[in-house]
Amino acid sequence: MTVKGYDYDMESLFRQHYRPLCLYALHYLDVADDAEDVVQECFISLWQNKPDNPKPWLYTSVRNRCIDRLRSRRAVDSVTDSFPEELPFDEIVSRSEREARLWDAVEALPEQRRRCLIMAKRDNMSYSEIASELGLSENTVRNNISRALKTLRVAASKDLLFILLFF
Amino acid sequence: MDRLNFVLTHFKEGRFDARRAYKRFRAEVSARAGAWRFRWRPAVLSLSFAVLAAVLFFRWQGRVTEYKAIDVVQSFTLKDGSHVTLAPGSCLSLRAHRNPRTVSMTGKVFFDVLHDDEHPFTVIVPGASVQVLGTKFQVYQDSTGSRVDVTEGRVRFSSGKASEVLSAGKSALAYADTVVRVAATPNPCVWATRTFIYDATPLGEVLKELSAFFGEALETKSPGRLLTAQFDADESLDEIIGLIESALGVTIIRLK
Repeated sequence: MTVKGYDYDMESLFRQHYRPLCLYALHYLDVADDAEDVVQECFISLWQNKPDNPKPWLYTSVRNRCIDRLRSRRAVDSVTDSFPEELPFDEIVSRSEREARLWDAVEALPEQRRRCLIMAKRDNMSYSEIASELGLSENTVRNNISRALKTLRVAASKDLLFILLFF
Repeated sequence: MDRLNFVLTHFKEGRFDARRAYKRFRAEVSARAGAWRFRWRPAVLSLSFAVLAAVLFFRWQGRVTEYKAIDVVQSFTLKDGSHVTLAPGSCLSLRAHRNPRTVSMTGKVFFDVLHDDEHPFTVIVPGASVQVLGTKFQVYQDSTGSRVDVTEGRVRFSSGKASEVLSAGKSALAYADTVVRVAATPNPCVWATRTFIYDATPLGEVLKELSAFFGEALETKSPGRLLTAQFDADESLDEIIGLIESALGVTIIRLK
């Protein structure tokens, strides 16, 4: 779907920016479904408004909508927390894209390796608990996590290499 | 590894899937575009119908109604209630729904116009027009000009900037943007009214008119006698002559 009068198409914009934008929104909202909804609304708004420069427009739009959501949430919940600290645009984009690549790398891990990693890091389960849960030996769990982290470090180092080469 | 913790905290297989999100986006956009079309369709349809109705209405209003007499005298009642009698070869037309009291004509037409103060009746002939409120008159039009003979009421006979008000019994000709009064015969419209009416009319004038109407030359030795009478034009000439002779005690000679 090409935006009328512009030389970019919506599908490629989704492919490039959807996940980084969701992760950016997630920093504000902390709820994945809300983040996806906000980003979807921003893409629809982009399609309607057809700005000249879609990328900064999308990031700004996501931020504004997230703040609106937080305000309405806080009005309901009577919570007065401040909003997440604002970073310069380049840093926001860089952080979001790096997180998206990390997300890609996690997603690309073999399933067992990924499950072990998530149970260990996210759910704070011990190796023995994971082994028991998945019916594996502790050693296999340890190996899976170790290899998973190695893969992710490689993915992260590519980012670092990129940064060193170009900045 | 704050970043990794952040990713792993929220990671779920299939979450933040750009391809699926793009499908959702397309569905949403299509629905909105469809809704937009749906919202506009009734408006566009209504507008089309309104335009069509307006076109049909104006065409219907502008539709011309024609009345014709081919080879015999014909009488018609118009939409406004006025009566017209057309001499053979005459034609009268009007736009019944736009202005039923404005008519165009060719040939010779006798009008018995229904009185209406608010809506003057107008007869249009090439180069002239006649405007009336309610009266009886005839209009005769040919290639040289037009003539109006008034039998009742008054009419305004106009040609270009020239104009004459004619009362009952008066006649006028219009040609080249001028209107000229002319002498009238006693019953110029008898072909339509079918009645000869004379009111202290000199007998010579009566016989001249009867001669012209019946196509026979009539003479008398007393042309100055005055006749007041009414005859039906469908009576025979013999009967009419007999009535005049007995009423005035004169002799009428038929020249054959």
